[in-house]
Amino acid sequence: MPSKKGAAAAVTCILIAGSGVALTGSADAAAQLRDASHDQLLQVFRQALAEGKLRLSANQAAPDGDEPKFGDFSDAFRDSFKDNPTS
Amino acid sequence: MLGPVRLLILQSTPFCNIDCTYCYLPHRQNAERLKLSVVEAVAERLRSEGLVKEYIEVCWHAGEPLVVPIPTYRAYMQALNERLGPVAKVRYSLQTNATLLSREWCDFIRENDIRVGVSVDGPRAIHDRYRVDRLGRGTFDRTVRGIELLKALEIPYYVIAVLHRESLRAPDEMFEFFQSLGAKEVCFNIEEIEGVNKTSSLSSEAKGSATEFFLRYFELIRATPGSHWLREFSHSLRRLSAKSVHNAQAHPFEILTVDYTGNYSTFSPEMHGMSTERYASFVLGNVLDPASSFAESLGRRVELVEEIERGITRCKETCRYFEVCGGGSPSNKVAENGSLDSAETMNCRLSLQAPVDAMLLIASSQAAGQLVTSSSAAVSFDVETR
Repeated sequence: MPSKKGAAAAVTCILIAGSGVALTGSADAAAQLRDASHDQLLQVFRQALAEGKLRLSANQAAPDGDEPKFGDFSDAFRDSFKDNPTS
Repeated sequence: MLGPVRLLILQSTPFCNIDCTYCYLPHRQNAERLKLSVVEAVAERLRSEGLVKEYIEVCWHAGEPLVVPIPTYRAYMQALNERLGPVAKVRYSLQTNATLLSREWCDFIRENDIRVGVSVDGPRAIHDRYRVDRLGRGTFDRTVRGIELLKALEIPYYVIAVLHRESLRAPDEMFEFFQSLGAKEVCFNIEEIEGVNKTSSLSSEAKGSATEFFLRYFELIRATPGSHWLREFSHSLRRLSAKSVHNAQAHPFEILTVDYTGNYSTFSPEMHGMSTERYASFVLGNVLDPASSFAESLGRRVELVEEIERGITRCKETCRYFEVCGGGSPSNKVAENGSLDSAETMNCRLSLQAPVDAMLLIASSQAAGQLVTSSSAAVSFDVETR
């Protein structure tokens, strides 16, 4: 349930969770994503991320209990990601 | 800067006991095997040239690896461990069709902590559409028998499934199949135009179908507690949320592919067997040739490095997905566009853009739902103090 911890508190919601990752976002980010057109979504998402309104949680047990896959050797083969702000 | 090599693909044999119609690999009837001297030379050169640091994954691939007997692998791995073990943690993996798995293979896999990737495309009708033997018979039963053996012996494995026209039409059947199979980790590759596979059941126009497929599959994952891990789900969100995406296929000697003769190449592994009028072969040299180092051999093909870099610049200038991609796959650029100095491919559209678009659509619809029903018990809220 929502609650507050002083004036600086920002309510965040889990937007997407699964496969070892979870995306949370502020109400402001949620509103921006809701209102964006299909063509704008990528840009709006990245902007909200840069402004700290979206956050990816990973490398820990996800809400559905999936195994984390960060740092896996096979990432070199499967793909790889650097400088993830939240990893 | 070269390397360090994070993935070493070793072709223990080009032979494959089955004959998938979409396979990109040439010479699949050639039953020759990798010589131990080649393995020793690769390991020796990687160490002496300082191209291995901290860790390396050695993947037995590019042919059916289980065709080669276990004692041969023991010798290969001893040679690798002796030379690379002192400087890096060596981990092994193999990509198999699972039809030749036996109790003995499972014991060997467990004993050496080998990561197992199984190629299975989905339910019988979808799998057997392209994954056939040389008599044209489907291989589904033989593959599932191998998977059941892995499961019975509690050996972890991940699935690589090739998405083609038929599977894109059946996300629910695909999801249910992998759930019922007990797969823990699933990765999708699209049917690519690459190597000797000159056509695909997919086309650029299939991006809408691919987006729909991923949209539905992602929804099924979200709606099913304990569902399997899906690379495209995890990676799409990670791509979207990363400051930058590192493109290992574009970095010299981060990936090294060595075939059974000792010929080697870098960048995309699929480029190894390719040959075009523009580039001829992508092979840089042979590990048994003492005349030149890995670096010197690449220095003689500097045009490859330059063209890959120009291609990535072109991606950066023309593609709005660049920040979540990193510049695409050189092998797909060559196969589809005829040039490393090129940008978007069908592979980009179907294997990267489609799942990213699907994830964005889910984020958008979830955001709308969250805002409307923010007091609903179905919505998980957390409080963060900044």
